[in-house]
Amino acid sequence: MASETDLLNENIGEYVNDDYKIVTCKWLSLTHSININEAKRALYAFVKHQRKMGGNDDINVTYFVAGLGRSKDGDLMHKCAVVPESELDVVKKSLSTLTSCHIFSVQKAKLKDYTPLYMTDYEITKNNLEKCNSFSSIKCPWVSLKSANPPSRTSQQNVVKPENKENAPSKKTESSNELVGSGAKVSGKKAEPKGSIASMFASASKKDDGGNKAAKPTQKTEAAPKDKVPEKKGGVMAFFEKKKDSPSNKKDTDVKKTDATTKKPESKTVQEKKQEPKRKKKQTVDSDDEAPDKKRRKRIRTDLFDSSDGEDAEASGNEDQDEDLINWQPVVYDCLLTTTTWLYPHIASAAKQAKPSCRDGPQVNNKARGRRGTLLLRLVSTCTRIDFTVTVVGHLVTAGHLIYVEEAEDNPAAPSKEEEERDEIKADNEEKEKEKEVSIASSNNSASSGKKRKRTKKVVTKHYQDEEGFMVTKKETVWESETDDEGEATTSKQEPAKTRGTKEAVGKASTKNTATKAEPKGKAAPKKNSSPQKSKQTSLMSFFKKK
Amino acid sequence: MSEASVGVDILSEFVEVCIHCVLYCRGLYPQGVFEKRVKYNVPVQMCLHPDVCAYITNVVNSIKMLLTEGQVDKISVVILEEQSTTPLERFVIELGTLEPNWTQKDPHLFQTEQALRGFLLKLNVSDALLHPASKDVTWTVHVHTRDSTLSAVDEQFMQKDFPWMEAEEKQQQMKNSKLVPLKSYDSDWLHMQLYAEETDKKS
Repeated sequence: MASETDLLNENIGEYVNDDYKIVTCKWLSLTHSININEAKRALYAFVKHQRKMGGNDDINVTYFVAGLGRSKDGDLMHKCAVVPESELDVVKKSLSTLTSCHIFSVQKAKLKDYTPLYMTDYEITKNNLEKCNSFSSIKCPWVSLKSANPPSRTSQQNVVKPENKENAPSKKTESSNELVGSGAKVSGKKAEPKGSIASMFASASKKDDGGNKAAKPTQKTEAAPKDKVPEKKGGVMAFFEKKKDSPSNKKDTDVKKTDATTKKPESKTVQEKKQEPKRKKKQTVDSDDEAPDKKRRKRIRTDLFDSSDGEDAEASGNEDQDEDLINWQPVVYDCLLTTTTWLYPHIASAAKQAKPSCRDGPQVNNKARGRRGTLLLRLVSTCTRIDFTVTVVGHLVTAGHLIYVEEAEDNPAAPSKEEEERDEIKADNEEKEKEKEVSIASSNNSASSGKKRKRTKKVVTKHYQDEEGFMVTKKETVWESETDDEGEATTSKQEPAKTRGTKEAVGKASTKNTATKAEPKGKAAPKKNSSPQKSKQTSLMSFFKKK
Repeated sequence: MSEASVGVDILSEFVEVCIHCVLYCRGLYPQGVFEKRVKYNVPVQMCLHPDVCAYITNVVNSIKMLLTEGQVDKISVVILEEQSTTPLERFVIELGTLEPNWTQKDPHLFQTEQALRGFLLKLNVSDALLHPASKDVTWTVHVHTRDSTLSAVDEQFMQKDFPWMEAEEKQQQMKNSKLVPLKSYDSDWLHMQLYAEETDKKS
């Protein structure tokens, strides 16, 4: 005995490790002509042995679990499932009473779903039709195969019957006997999960009704196929009563035929339909192997056998985009430093206050205002080189080139103002220390006190909205002026026209970003591609306008 | 329907199922876009995305035309690395000549169906034999055929607005590739083998 088990163990080892086969308990039972329960034990022993040996445990095991559980509506129902090892505990916990748990298959491949398992069993069953139930533990002593009828004749009879509405008793008896015979086969073929359907035929073959009681409650609680099943039962019983008409007969024969050939898909799909809402799983899908996006994973799990469509992909795609949108914010936020949000209220008030002073002319009477005005300027001066944009995205403001720096040649209209601003800038250079938070400003700017007309090529990250309203972050090479043209700061608010003009004159991509980002999210970005290529800083006032 | 065209139809259906299977097994598209359907009495996964389906249908129709006209040596689904489009792995269906009078030997196609089922099963479990699937990949289909065959159907391709062009050298050559035979079938009318090639190191 021991040697037999060893031999079996060796064989299983060969199948799994060398041939990369899928060894299901049924396959093993039919291949080696052993009882199904022996096959299950052999598989268990093999797995234990393999794992004890250590080394790389790269075999995957699926389990068959059955037990009592609750349906969605709270009804008690008998659930069966084939699950991968990773989900075994979860499924076990979901069942209130465990009636059966054994190894279903052992293989090297990590299965994505039960398709290969089904294929394996299908092949072996098909090749061993006559003896497939001889190794089963579900037997009925009163059942015997009818003397061999040629298949064509049988099928013809079955075909004729639905057409022929007359219920010829002899024909019916024959067919009922066939049903009985096939019923025995079917019940033999089908393991516990199909017990409900198999038991129908088993009951038809005058099996002890007690055996069906377990199956019956499950049938009653099951939804869609329930209608079919009792009808089948009624149909079969009717043969003996010689009362039932052809449609049910046809159904029975159809069922018989389909059961004989496609036992699993039918019962599985049928069961899936009712089980899916009731979480009765017949899946070995490890959808956890999917992309790490948790949201996506959740959807796939529930819909996998419901022919889930691309909606999930789209939805998850949108979620991805949302994530992208969210993801850039902290990065930009870091770059900006908190001052931008801090600045925002100040800038707003400063801008408002600076307005009258600029309108009044070059003199800045109100020191406080001026200070705030210069605050703006300071900010600008320190931010000349920085290329990020002001965006109102609900709660986050990203400051780009805050201030338009008007170069003298570009805007001869207000040279005086510029000079004035420049003076102020110079004056406030010392105060730039305060603006330490705005350290994002490049060092050369903070040190600079005058205009440096240098254009350098720089790779900057731009954020803008594309036509669909999604925030896009791009790295662009732009020419940037290193000028400390902060003069625009104070003027930017009160001279929207001028600013706009300068905006158009300035070629920086950030300009357009400022404009677009100031718009609420979701709007298309019309000014995206407008600016010609000149290195100018955008005015801070630009994003106020957009509000 | 002539015998030959039935054989061609069967083969092209099989190629279509294979392509979908490869897409599913190698994770080229998320599992959610696949739907279970029945083929050869077993469940198979088919992609639902309309563009993908249309593309595959066009490919299969072209293959059908090629098969009718002449000789197709190999049909391979090549998985390329996204950025550089270098092939990472390849699933190749190698076809022998199609015998003309196969219906006599396999009138009900039982053996054929069984053979094709075997191919599908092996394809489904192929991930045990291969490296794990890579991410960020794209795919294409290469068909190895004769010049004469191609020229015969080129016009039809243009008419159907699905022209084929010669594959780039870069896409054809795989560096340090390993060949993993998956399944082969030799019968009176069908000679086919399925194997996979993959590069040693995958990013």
